[in-house]
Amino acid sequence: MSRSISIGLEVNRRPIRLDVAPNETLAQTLRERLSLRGTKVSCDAQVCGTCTVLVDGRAVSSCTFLAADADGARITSIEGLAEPDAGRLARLQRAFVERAAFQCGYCTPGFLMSATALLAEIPNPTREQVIEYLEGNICRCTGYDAIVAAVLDAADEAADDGSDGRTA
Amino acid sequence: MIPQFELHRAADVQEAIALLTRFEDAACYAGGTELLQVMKMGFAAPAHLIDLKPIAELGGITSTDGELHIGAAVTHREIEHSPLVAEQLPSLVALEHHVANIRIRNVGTLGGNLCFAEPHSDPAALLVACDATVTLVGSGGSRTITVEELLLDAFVTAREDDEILTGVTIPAVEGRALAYRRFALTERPTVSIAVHASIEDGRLSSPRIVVGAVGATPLVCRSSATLDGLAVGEVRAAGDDVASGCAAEVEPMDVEIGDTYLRNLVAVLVRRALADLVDGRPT
Amino acid sequence: MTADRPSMERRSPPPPIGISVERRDARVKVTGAASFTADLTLPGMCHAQLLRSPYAHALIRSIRTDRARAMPGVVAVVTARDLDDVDLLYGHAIRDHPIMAIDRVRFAGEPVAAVVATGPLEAAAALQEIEVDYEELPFVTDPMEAMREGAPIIHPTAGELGSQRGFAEAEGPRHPNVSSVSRHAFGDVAAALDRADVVVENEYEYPMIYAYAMEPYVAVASWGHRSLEVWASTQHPFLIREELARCFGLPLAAISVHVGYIGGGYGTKGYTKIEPLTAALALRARRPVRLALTVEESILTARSVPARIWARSAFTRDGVLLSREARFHMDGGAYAENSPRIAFRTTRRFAGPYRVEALDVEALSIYTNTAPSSSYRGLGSRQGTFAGELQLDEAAERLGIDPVELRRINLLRPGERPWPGARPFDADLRADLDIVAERLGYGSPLPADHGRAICLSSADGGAEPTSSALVRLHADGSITVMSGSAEMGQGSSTVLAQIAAGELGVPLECVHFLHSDTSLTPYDRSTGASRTTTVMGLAIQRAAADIREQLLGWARELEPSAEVRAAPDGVLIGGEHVPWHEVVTRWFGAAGGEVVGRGYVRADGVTAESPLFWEVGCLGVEVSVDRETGRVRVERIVTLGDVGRAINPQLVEQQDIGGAIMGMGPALNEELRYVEQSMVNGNLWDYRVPRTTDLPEIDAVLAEREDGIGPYGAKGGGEASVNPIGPAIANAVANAVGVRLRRLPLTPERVWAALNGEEASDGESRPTGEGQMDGEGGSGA
Repeated sequence: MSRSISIGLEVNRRPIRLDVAPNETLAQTLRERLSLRGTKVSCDAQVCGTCTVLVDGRAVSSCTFLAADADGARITSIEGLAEPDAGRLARLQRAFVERAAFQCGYCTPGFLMSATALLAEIPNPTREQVIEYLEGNICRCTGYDAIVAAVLDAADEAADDGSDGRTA
Repeated sequence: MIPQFELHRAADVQEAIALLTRFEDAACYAGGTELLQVMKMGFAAPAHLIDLKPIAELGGITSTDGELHIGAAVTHREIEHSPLVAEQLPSLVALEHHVANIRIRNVGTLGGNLCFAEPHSDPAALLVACDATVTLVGSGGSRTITVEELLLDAFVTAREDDEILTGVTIPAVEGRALAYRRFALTERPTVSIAVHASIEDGRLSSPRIVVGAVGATPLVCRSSATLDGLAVGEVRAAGDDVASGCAAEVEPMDVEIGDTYLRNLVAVLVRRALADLVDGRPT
Repeated sequence: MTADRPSMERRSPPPPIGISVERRDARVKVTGAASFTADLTLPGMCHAQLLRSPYAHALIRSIRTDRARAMPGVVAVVTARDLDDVDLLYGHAIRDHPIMAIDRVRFAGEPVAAVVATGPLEAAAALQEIEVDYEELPFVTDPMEAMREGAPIIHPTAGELGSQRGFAEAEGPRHPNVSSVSRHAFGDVAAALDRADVVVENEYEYPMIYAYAMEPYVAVASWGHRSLEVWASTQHPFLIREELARCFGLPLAAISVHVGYIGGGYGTKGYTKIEPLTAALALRARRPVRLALTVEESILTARSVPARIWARSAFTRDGVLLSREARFHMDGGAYAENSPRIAFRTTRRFAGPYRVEALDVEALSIYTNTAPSSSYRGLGSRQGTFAGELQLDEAAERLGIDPVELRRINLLRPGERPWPGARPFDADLRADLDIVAERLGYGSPLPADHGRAICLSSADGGAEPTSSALVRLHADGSITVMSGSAEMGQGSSTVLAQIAAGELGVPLECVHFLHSDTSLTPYDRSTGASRTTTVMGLAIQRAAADIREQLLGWARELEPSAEVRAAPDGVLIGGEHVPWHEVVTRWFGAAGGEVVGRGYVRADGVTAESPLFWEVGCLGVEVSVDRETGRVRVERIVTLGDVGRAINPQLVEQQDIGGAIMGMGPALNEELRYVEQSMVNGNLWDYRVPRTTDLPEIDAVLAEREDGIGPYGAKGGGEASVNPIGPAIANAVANAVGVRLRRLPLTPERVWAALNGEEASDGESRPTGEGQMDGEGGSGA
């Protein structure tokens, strides 16, 4: 057996220490060790975007990201999107609800995490920028139209409020 | 599932080389977007991964006298967002914008991309066109070779087992004009074309057309020579012949796509890239 | 009980009918709280991995498992030979599918052995230690080759017919590799051909594709004392229960199939897949077992049914369609799965929404040494509509009639019977066609190399009228709806809750919904074929009516002397308004109590005639073609949802938009390819599905004429866009650049080859006549 590695990280604003196997992926750590099953795995090949989480604000495929490399990092998964205290949905989540920008919902956590990274990087994206940014996330149900609209809604709303776009 | 391995963090290049020498069955690891994927698919199962990310000297993008140096562990996204690269080599920024997807660009590194030698690599063709070099450091010392020399075959490089690719250098070129075009049917490009030249006094010199993704390694087309000395205004007219010449030179390896069609794509993209070049689109 | 809703109620549906209320599953799905089968763990649960055959066709001489059994963490190693107490064959149409290979493998990728271990990594390591000695056999992966004399016989013994076959076979001798023959014929085709002025005849091809439901196949099984629990990502829990009962010799009541949220279905999570195998592994492991396939394995479990099609249509010079004929060769793969029913449906769906006096359609489902096939959204209609709608445009050209006008001439009118004995047509497609033509700007000028087309489709809705529902009204007025319909994203839990709320006049917030679960929710045949709103909707309406009638009766019992009348949300007892739940508590004379309403649907009353509804499509596209690369881009799509009544308009539009984009995939580049004995692009790196960057401008329109038999005039939607979009894109490309390709997908290479008179690299063996628009077969006037 290979040696386990002790890591310290922050998951959804909560500090955590744990020992991980070298070959353990961040998706496995979140889902199996921390019971954060909102992060889904589909293609397991970095293509579909379903397993997207944020590592220090950057979107990564947690299916192919070693947990060991999350040492010292700030991880945000779908469970960390809503406001921590009130449990109020983040602006993007509300926009997804209003637009019904999902059907089966399996890809939704990944889309929300990618879109969160997008709006952090480009607070007022054009439709083309949204489309390009989300090209690496696959949805088989919605045909993307409502998803793109929801992301633009969230950005518009943030612009109206002059806030950062994550919470209201 | 990724098979089991030991993970070793290297603090500097010398330690990485020592680890590579010590372990028979070791692989360099940085972003892991290629390596972990092939490990999952069962195509590789190294017992030791030597993590190069902690090595400071493999990071950073710098410029000296117009020469651009990109550390091997610099990610695609860092290049995409680098003001320095945007200023000196905007075509590379534009190229990086279309590599795989945001997540892979956030994690995958330029050095890893080159060392993996996947024939459909985006950056490889452009770097070959720029006559870029890589520095390889091993137990026997350091050497510098061109990217063209590095890429020997599909998934095969000139890097020795105990060598680390530390960085990529894109030489300074007076009046550089550079264009990149890609055509993709799946995740990676089916055909990519990089055209590089120096334009001085309205004339092209050292033109270099490189076809990526079609053969096992990027192909520097002999037909490029036709463009040498042409005035910018003459390039379009010469483009058709040059494009056909490039198309004739390639050796397609993809059995799923017809040879005739691939050659057509090469010709079309060469024409379009040449048009970009003379239109003064991003260089 | 009220069987048929009076027309009065159709005119003014109660709220929240017709309102785009927030989806019931919205909050859990945007917070990651929605629980899918893939998320389930049970105490003591083990993990299974499958060893799959590298050969397309081989005998299994022996399997050595002793080394694997000795590996760390291994709980059980199982082959078919270890399951002599299990009936290994399943199959709802033909019982030909072993849950693991028995002595013979029939496709590359077929499971031959399984390891159950404490973790997936341990199971995977042990798989490497299993040794299988194969004797390779000649194989055939092409359906036309499989029909030749001397072709390898894939099933030396024909399987017995399955219980859910659901249709009659065509008679006559057949090749042993043909699993099923369906024929649909009426009228005198020969006479029609004699009278015809223009006959178009050609060959067409619809590709083998993969739906890519994003939650790959996953099941968890756990045995109790002579009882079995299975959690599965499935649209058909009750049909799985039936197969499990047979395989393991259990009564239906001893089996619980639990369904959570489903990560995509599209038909591919229909019928039985890995559930019996998972249950068998749990039986041997004596522990709960989870079997979770990868995407690559899921592709090898259920790809779609491709079709090679010959078709001929005859017209008068005025454009009147006289007859249509077709012969479909459909590759069902190594096991029949649903391919016989798909072939059957194809024969009913090829002709489209057009009046014909004579029809002769035959569809053969063929065994090959390829991965098993399954249902996929729009089954039979996609394949049939592709040939049928291309042929209309070919005819329009020959006739000199505009393709939209040619369709208008021949469209069925509401109330006409498409064929003798069929339910009268329930859609006004002429009106739909006008709407789509106008929204698309049909006929207005276009840039160079752009083209438009409008295609239509009509499918005899595959919905079976077998459903039951319970609605429980509790003492506080809240309601539990117990329906076996699965929530796979289509929004059934929202729409059915809206129906329950509307029928009982209670706020939507008061309605709660259970996931499909064979041990809790009453029998529902399946979730698929766009049936849920119509069939389960009726069952819930009837359950609500049952509640109202019971409560009226209870009110009369309570106040025998008073006049008792129904109000929308309760009972009027002598002028006093009493909410439903108060009737409940008063009748029980206690603080608690509830009333249980029952609703059943069977082939009776409004659901007596078949099909239950015509699932129609009418869709317009505009495309552009890059002549130099052959790349086609869809620029605009106009979808039209002719659904009778949209209970939740937003959800219907989403079905249409999602279906359109899904259908763009096989129109433009999706195709699973076999080289030698293996599938070569069965992974997401090589099999590209549509992305955000493919998204065109979309205009989604609803037509609500209350002409369905479902609640408030509703009828099934959900396949309206996916069925006609393939031919619409192909016809639009023909209109843009003048080449008519009769084989999907329209890959850049094929389009470029057609434009340049070249042969596409993968086209040489196909008789599909990818070529210029002239030179079509058939006898002109």
